[in-house]
Parts: sequence; structure tokens; C-alpha cells
Amino acid sequence: MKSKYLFFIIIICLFLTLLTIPAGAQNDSLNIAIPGKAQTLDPAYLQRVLSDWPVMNSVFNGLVKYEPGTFNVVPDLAKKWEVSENDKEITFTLKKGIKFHENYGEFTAKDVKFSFERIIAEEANSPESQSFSNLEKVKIIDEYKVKLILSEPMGRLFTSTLPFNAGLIVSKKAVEDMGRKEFASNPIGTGPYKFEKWDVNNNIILSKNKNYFEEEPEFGEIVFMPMSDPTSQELALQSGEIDIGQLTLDNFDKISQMKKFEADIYPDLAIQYVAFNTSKKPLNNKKLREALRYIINPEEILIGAFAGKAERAHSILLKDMTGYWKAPSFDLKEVGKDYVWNLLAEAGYPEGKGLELEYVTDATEERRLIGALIQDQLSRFNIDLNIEALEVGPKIDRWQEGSYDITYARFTNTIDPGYNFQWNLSDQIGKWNLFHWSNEEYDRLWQEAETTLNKEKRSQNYQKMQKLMNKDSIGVWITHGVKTPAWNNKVDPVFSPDGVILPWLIEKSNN
Amino acid sequence: MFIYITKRLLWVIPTILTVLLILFSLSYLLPGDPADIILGPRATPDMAEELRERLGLNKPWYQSYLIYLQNIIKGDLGKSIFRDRSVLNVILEVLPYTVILTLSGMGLAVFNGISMGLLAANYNNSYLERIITIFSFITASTPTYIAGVLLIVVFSVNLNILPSIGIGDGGILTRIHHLIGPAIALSIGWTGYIARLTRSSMLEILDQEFIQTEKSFGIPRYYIIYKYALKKAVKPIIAVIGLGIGRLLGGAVFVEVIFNRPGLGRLIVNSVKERDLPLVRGGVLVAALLFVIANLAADISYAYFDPRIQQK
Repeated sequence: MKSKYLFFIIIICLFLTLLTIPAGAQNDSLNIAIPGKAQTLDPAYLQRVLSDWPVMNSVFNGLVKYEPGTFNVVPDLAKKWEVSENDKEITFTLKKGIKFHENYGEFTAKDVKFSFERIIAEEANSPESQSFSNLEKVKIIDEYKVKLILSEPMGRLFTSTLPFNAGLIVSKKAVEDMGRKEFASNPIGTGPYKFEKWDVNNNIILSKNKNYFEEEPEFGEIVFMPMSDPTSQELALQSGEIDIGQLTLDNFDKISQMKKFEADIYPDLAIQYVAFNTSKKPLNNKKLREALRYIINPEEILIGAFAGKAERAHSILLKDMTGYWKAPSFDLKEVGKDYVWNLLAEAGYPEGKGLELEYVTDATEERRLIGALIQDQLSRFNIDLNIEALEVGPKIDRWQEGSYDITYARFTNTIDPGYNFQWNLSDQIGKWNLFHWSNEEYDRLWQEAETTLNKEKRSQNYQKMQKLMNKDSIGVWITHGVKTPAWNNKVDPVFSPDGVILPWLIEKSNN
Repeated sequence: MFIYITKRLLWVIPTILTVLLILFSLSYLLPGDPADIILGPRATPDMAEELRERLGLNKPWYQSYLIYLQNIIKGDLGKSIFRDRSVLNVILEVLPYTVILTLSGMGLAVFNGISMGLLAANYNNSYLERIITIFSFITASTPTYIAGVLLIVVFSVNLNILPSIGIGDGGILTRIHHLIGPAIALSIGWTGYIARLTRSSMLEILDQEFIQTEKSFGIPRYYIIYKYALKKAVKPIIAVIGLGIGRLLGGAVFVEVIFNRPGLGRLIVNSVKERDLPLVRGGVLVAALLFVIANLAADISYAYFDPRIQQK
């Protein structure tokens, strides 16, 4: 009998010791929640570029980078560069004495050649190959000089290729020694943090690179924790187990007001919009589309479906991006209801009678809600909207067949306008051109902007393209969406303009 | 007994074959072009073609089903679409965590449930019995995910004594520390159920003649309960444990997602989200196997305890 009690006492003691272990993180280590688990850590084969960017950006450097807090491009591994007269040859002079992690030697021109050419190689099948679409080859001039040779000038080279994922430099020796598969879970770069471990919980653990060529980061260790459930993120943030995470819009006010936390709202880079199918009756009628632009009120959608936290978009692009042009907002209050009734009558639907439209959207709660709001807005003008909420597969089928009148979409963007505008080209009809809209002038302007490095010229073209879209009233930009990072007040984080964390710049907070 | 076990084992084969057929048809039932859905606009035509080939979409369905069966017999569950790894390895890596979680959840439920049931039966018609009855009603009807979130809010956010995410790295102590919350969350529903079951079966047995006889012999009450009554009362509980393991495996999905633990459940959820078909198929197949094995074990152990079953 006595031994039984002893056993119980031991168990209880063990339990109590367990409870004294602090649940939160250690001081020199930083826990950051990321939305999904990474698939690979090899930049050439990354699928989810946006969500894995904080990790890649900590381990690797590119020749150039975005200046922290902006989208301006500044030197990183390169010291300077020269662009030839015809924009087809770019010569980079590299910084000297930069070392790869784990004794993989000095960074030189051969690593640049290797990193870029493994992406454009045909057998490589890299999802990044289109980022380097016009790159013919990379020529080594000497150890610290390298030349990119292009078949056509590449507009996106300095906006979204070189400073972003495709431009990250891997160690040639490491990839060759380990092989591609091993490298994917054991990346070697020159970045402020080096890769330590990828554990069974899919956490990615990085430790400080003591030989970093710029200022050393403050935290010794960073753990990236994939947490797909936003509520878990909020709870873990409150219990102190993660230092930086995202809030849901519903709880944003509550948590950001707590003393222990700070939070901010950033516009996402993506664009969410209502697209009209311009190639199918009845919305092949421009007058009718114009009327719909007045009737669909983005402000109401923002309040109803985004808790009033997201800002209205007036362009595919964010305000400070090259080529931004603010589309007129088609405000119903400004012109009055009669004006819209007249438009409907001119379009052949007096009093909105007999107008029944198909609306295709995702089956998520948020998208259904947006659909219901639009349905309500249209019903004020006697227009019937049939909402079809579909799973991703059938939705894409319908998109590509063009069997809908109106749809709602979210497209992720990059910093390069050329990438963002490519989905509305004529040859994207049947693929990702949801307006089923074709305009030769638009295609020509896009092609022209794609093959020049002249920022002014590109900017003008993109503005003209937006005016063309506006003139044809092909849809309504709703919002860029929001990112809502939150952090505990032990840290002082730095974010990009679209709210992505820059891990190596995080400082310990004074308060 | 031997015939009974063989019969039960043979039934496993059609069950698994049906599961396989359903899993296999996933890629055909999924509307839309899987390559488009899985890879999105970033995919090059070559990548899409390669994927179709890997999913066996470029062959007639019966051919690819046979190839699929052949591979499974060889123990090859295919390769994950996104991670360049074999599905079997990915599953084997996380499976122990699910097994440990399920077993500790079951252990807690059985231990707490039987204790509560015994107390309730022993103090029949007292306040304690009523409290236990109410408590077991509440716990039996609390869904796992509510229990999980509540535990996190109380013990992690407010009291800050239990971790809310992960499995803990390093020592066995931190591992156990990280297991407490999830195991309790998982066990709660079954604790109440087992408590009620124990109570009613105990009361039934305490009413029987042999117990009355023992009482009249003056054998101490605790001796009767533990030595004679409990032994008999425990039989129906063993029967439900097999079923319970299956249900707990289902509950483990929620627990793993809420507590951000690695495991089979979260693996399946994530791969469904990513539409990593080979991984979904492999994960569900292993889950189905576990379920079948647990049920088989329950059937056999029940037959062992109650030989009347074998005759049926």
C-alpha cells in the first residue's frame, strides 16, 4: 500500500515541475509565425514565394535588394552595376570578401552564373524561369565581375527579378556537393542568418551568421513556426509563445489595444476585384457595365466583409508603385440614382427589368458575404444576381470557360507592374483573363513596357493601360486586402511596405 | 477463437480495398484540372504535364488503379507533390506523435472515467454522484475543439502554465509538458462517456446475487468493489475503447491543428489545403488502417473476455 502512495507523490511532483517550465520563448530567440509550412528552401523551386519570403530573405542575399521599408532597389551583394546602351547587357561589380555559411567559401562571380543559369536551364523546370524570361546567359568577366546578357531588354529585371526570390544567390559548391534534393532542406547562402534545422513540426530554425558582411542581427536565433489557423496565432501571441504573428480582422481592435502588444495594418500587395465578363451577353454591353460600376459600392463591401479595416483600391497597383493611376471611383451619390436608371435604360434594361446575372465566387465565408453584399446592391436596381459559390477547381473551370457574368477574384502581385498586368492580355483569355477582354493597344503597351528599363516610359505605358481598362469599364477594383502583423512589446520589428517582416532588422525593444 | 480471429482478419481486406478505391478516385472526382488547381498560374506547361503523369492522369483509370495497387503492395505510397519526399517517410515521421497523443488521451479518459464512474456508483444517490453525473454529461458533450481552445485560453493565455503550441524540443520533460494540454483536450469527451458507462455497469453488477452473497459473508466493501465487481464491470468498457481509439483519431485532427502539433491529422488537413493528392491518399490510408486495426483489436479482446460473442 505504501509504495502506491509513494508512486502518486512522485507523479504529482513531476507534474508540478513541469508547470514551472516557462511556456514562452527564451530571450535571445525569436518566434515568428508564418502562414503555411514551407515546401522547399531552394529559391529556384519555391512555390509559395510570398509566404516563404521572410525565411529566404534571411538566409540568402541577391545582387540587389529592396531598401528596408521601401520598394527602392539598392545594392546588396553587388557594389555597382552598369547597363549597356541597348539595355541588353548589365555588368555587375561584386563586393569582395563575402563568405557563404558553413565554410562554403567566398562568394564570387561563378556563384552568380550558377544561381541564375540553373533557373533558366531547360531541364531545370523551375517555376522561376519566367522571372528570367529574356536572360540568355551569364558571363564571368573576372572573379568579381559578372555580365548578364539578355535577348531583349527586361523591364522587370530590377523591380521583381533581381531583388526578389529569383535573384537570390546560392552557393555553387554547396548545391554541387549536396545535390539539389539535399540542398532544398539544407540551404547555404550569404544571409544574416544561417539555416540550422527543419524539425518534425515544420519549424524552421535559423541562427545568427556571425560573419555577416553587414551589421549583425540582434537576435541569436529565429524560429519560423508555420501556423495556418489564425486563432491559434492570436492565442499563441497572447501566451507569449510567439513574438510576431498576424491578427484576424475581428480581433484586431481588441488585441492591438492591449498593453503587451502592438499591431499595425499594412496594405497587401494583392488585388481583389469584381470582374465583368465582357465577351458574353449581357455584359458585353459597355453602358450596362458602366451602370454596374455605379451600383457596386466597394465602400460597403469593405465595411461588411473587411471590418472597415481595409482600404479601397483604385488601381491594380499600390499607390507608390511605378505606373500607379487612380481610376475614377464612379460614386453613385455624386451622379444620383436617376443617372444610373438612365444608363440602364440606354443599355436596353429600363427599370432594370429582365436582367439576371450569374455570379461565380469561392465557397469561403468571406467571399459568400461579399457576393451577398453585391447581390443586395444590385437588387436596389431590380437586377437579379444568382450567386454560385464553388470550390476552387470548378471555379477555375468556369473562369476559363467564361461561363459567368460577374466574378470576384484575388490575384497576388509582385512589385513589378508588368507581372501584375499580364493577366489581362488577350492571350490570357481562357486562362487567367477574367474579364475575357481583349485590347490590342493594351497588349502592345504591355509588350513595350516589358522590354525597356526606362522607368518613365514604363510608368506612362502602365498608366495608359489602366485608362484603357477604365474606359471599357471591365470591372471594379475593391481592395488590396490587409496584412495585420502584431508583436509583443519586447521586440521592435521592421516591415516592408506591404507588411512582410524583415527578420534580421528586428531589435530588442527598450520598454 | 482461431476461426473467429481469421474471419475478422479476412474482413479487413475488402474494407481496405474499398478505402483504396475511394482514395484513388479522388483525383477523378475532384472537379477541374488538378494541375491548374495544384500549381496555379505560376506553373509552366512542362510542370503541369509532369504532374499529370505523376498523378496517373494520362492513362485510363483502371490502368492507373492497378499501378496504384501494385505500388501500395510494394509499400510505395508515391511522392509528395511539393516536397520532394516519399509519402511514406513523411507519414512515418509524424505518426508517432499522433499515436502517443491518442494513447495518452485514451489513457487519461479511461483512468479518469473509471475513477469517476466508481465514485458515482459507490456513492449512489448522493450529492457527489449528482455532481459527477452533471460533470460527465457536460464533458461527454463538449467537442474536442472547444475543449482545446478553452484549455489554451485558461492555462496558456491567462495562467501561462501550459504551452499552447508545438511539441517542445529537447528533453522528455518538455515533451510531456507539451502533451498535457492536448491529451486533456482529447480525453475530455470520452472521460464523461466512460464515467457514465462505468457507473451504470457497476450499479447493475452490485445489484446481482453473487455480490449480495459476498456482502452477507462480511467481505469488506472496497474489497468487493475492486476485486469482484470492477472486474466484471470493465468488460463493456473494453469494447468501447476500440471504437474510442477511432473516434479519438478523428479528434486528434482538431487537437493537432489547435495546438499546432505535428501528426497524421494535421498532415492530412494541410495536404488537403495544398491539394497534395498523394499525401492526402497516403495519410487517409494510414488513418483508415489504424482505425481498422483498433476495431479489430477491440473485437478480438471482447471475444476473449466474453466467449459468447464467438458463437454468433
